[in-house]
Amino acid sequence: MEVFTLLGQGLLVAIQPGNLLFAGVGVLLGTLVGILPGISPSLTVALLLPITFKLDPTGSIIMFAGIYFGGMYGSSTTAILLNTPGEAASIATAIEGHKMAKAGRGGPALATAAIGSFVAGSIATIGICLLAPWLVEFAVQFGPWDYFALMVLAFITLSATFGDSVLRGVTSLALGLVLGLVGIDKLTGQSRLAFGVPALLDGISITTLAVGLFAMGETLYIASRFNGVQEKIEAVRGSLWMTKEDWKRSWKPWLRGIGLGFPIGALPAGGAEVPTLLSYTLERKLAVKPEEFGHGAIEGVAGPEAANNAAATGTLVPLLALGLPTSATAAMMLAGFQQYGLVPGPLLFITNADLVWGLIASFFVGNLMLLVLNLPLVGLWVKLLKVPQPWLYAGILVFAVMGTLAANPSPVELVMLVTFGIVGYLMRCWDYPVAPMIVGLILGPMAESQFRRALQISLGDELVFFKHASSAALLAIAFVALIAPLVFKNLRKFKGDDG
Amino acid sequence: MTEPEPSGPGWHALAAVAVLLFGLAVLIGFDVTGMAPSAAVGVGPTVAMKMVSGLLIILGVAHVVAAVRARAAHQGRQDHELDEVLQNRGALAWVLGGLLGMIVILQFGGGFILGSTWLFAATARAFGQPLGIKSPLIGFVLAAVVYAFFTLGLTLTLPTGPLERLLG
Repeated sequence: MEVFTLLGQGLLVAIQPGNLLFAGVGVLLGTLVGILPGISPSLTVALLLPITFKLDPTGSIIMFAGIYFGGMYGSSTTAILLNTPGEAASIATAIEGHKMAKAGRGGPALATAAIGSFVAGSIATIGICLLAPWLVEFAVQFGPWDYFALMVLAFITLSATFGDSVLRGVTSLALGLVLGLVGIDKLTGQSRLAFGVPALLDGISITTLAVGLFAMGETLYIASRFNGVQEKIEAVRGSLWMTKEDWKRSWKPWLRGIGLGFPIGALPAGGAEVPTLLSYTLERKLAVKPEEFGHGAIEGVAGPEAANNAAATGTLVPLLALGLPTSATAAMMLAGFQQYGLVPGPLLFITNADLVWGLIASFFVGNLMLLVLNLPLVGLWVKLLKVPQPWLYAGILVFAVMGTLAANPSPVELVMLVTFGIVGYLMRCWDYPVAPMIVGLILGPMAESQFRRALQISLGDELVFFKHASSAALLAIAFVALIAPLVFKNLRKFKGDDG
Repeated sequence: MTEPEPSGPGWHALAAVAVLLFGLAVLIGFDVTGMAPSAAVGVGPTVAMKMVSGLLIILGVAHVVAAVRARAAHQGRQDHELDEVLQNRGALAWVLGGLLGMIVILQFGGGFILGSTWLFAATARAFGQPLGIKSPLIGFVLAAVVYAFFTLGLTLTLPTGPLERLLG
């Protein structure tokens, strides 16, 4: 099959020593940063983005993938050993994994998370190989109206359907859209909302927003709730390895987790929170020993972890094939692409086939490396969790400022960073999700340009979005997705805190 | 986060957000009026601005409604909303002071290392580490290593001051 030839070529790109090194360094750095308590995978990617500024595109994107997977693995380690989920998708892991660690079964919990993530990542990567080219073929026929409708759908599902509150989610999105307007309009060259400040003409940097909202906001929040008590870390006691019974109890949850995670992640609705919580509920229902749930059931770690990884890999399908980021992390990846002038979407598969397939192949390599590097190094990672909070957060802020300065060395940028930090703090205090704001900033301008192209082609006919069956259907789904949570309050059962 | 989260914002917060949303809508409207009318074919750059400000106004109204409801529900009860946001003021002030101090230091040409040392020490102070010799020292070493790695290793540009020039 053609796909596998392409993938084979991609593997050849990925296993070039240089790229292998990038993948390995990415995995290590990603784990290193992701394991620090309170740092989510998307923040890991945001903080490490500047490191890849000067590398060549293929190498840096491959390193990026490594950082992403490493960050996710680090986040689940923290969830298991510290009971501090770095992101909403790790909540289920924290529930059961931490109990296992307390009972002296931290080793098997980490192992089932790592191996489950590996299996899920690998199978989901095959899923990308099969799905993405098909979607690309489909997507080349998309008109601007379809893209616009798809983006509206992504906006709605991300901000309204799966969140805690429709109002707060959409508000966060709207703030992101406002920020997306700032700068020079690409079609006419007129400046918008820049108010004569030269630094604003280039628009708001997504890195600055993400680092401000996540790193600064989180640090301010933790500082304001700081009571001088260091959280307790569970030592990894007993055997690191999974017993035969552990394997027997893990493999089915892994596969079910993948079955839930990949399709939901690949939908233009995205997010890993829903599949992980669904997987947790499902495993609880199917468990042979349901009484163990809540006291450290290995199924409750295996399933959600596999679902999380499969969903995260699944979000790369819309990102690569349509250029549509459906999670904060995917938005950061898109920012990474844009830094090299690469526009993900159907065309990228044609113009930069090497890069795309090299990237997809490096997911395999990255996942394998994660397994090989991280299980033996678990002792080292545990030590990292013991970094006292004053040093930890002080270090995070220094890195955050460094990243911003490296991207754009101007005081205005730092003032923006601090402002976004305060906004992020208030959003945490008042329970507004921050992810929609980031997606709004990056997707808003894209949606606008599709909107304008559509109207240009239709010679100003506003009904163009409803005259094509595909875009009309997508908009109808979006409308239902907006109304549904208001009508069925029961949907809230599935909600997690937005990460 | 180990503490239970409050279940959504109180009415003061909702009202504040409503004001912010209306303010942003007005700001965008103000900017739109200042822009030259576009002669280009198709949709000009102001259409999206109008759409977004329309969305802001809708959300603002929804926040006002939510605030009125929340207020009615809270009637007669003591609320601690401001305390909630300004919990542990000292720590918040130290972190923000660290960041503002860094901006000032950079503005006056103090350089990345000096600024980061201050930021590090001030943040550590917010988390209960006294401003002694230890935290500035760790901050200084960290900043110097980061500076060396990113400028020499990755050829990125970070703000320079007297210390950075010494390093070469």
